[in-house]
Amino acid sequence: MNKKKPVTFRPFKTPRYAYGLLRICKHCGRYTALPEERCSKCGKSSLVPVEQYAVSSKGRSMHTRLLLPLLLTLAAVYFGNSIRQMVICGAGGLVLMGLLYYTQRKVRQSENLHALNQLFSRNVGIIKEGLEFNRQEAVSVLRENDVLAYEKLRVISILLRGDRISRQRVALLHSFLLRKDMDLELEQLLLKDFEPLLAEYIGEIAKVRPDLIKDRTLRYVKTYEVQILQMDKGTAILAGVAGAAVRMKRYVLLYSEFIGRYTHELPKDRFLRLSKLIAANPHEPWNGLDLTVAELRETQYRWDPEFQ
Amino acid sequence: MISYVILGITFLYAVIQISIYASRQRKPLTREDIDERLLAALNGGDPGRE
Repeated sequence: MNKKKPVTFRPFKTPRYAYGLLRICKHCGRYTALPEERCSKCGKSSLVPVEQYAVSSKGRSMHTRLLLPLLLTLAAVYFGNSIRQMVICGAGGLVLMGLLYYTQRKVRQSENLHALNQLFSRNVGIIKEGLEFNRQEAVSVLRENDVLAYEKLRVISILLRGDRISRQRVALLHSFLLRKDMDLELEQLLLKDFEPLLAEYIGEIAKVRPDLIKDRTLRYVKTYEVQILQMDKGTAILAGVAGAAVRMKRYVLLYSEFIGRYTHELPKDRFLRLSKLIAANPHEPWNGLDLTVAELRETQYRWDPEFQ
Repeated sequence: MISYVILGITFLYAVIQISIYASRQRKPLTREDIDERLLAALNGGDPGRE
């Protein structure tokens, strides 16, 4: 019985830079990656993007740095013994302030980035803490709203990479009915060790989004081929992956042995594609795959007009 | 005399500040660098402090 439920994910655009997701609470300093309106720690609606925060704090620091020469100039004027001395000190101080102000304006862009870098360097621990809190928040809504939990984990995983979040995401994806139009991922979910749920997910991805099967996935499947074969639908998963790999000549050349082991399981269209690919490049080192394909073509598709 | 001393201090302060800005300009940071450092720091790599 199929227990998978059809779901729709809210559209999500991955920012160009991962830090673009981070916001900081101006009130309590908690970091968050989730698109919430109020800070989950203090409850105030004072969350601002980290870059904006760094830029404004840099602006304040630059103004403070201008304030000291102003005070010194005023002091120099105050202590002047004559009008001439006062004018010289006043004019000199103003020139120095002008020079400093001009330099500050010239370097503002790079100083903003420097401030952002410093903010992260000083607060790595607090950022980690905030993201961990976000993760716990996602896990806490898992029972009531698994789609929301998945969406939250998807956002957090851009900053916090690692097997723990990937495992939770794979487990959630396992309960969803996957469709081609969904915003799906694969390479980001690959784990260091074997996980049957991930293998099943790879098998489903091979059916709905074969374009997501790339080098890292093929290496993962090849590494855990024995374990996958021991699964209920292990052969079907591996055949699906082999079929997806057939879409690119590079993958066929790199994983020819693996594909060769599942050629007899390939659906007709995938086998036709493989057959044409080999026929078009007869001088490539197919590592025996060309012979396997030729043999299968002879035995199974000899009278098929598409193979003539 | 005191006022000239204070002006001298102001001059030194301005020169130091400008030198600091100039030295940072010589090795500018890019957004890619910042992103990489943050991800490395968050995921167990070297935080890459400046």
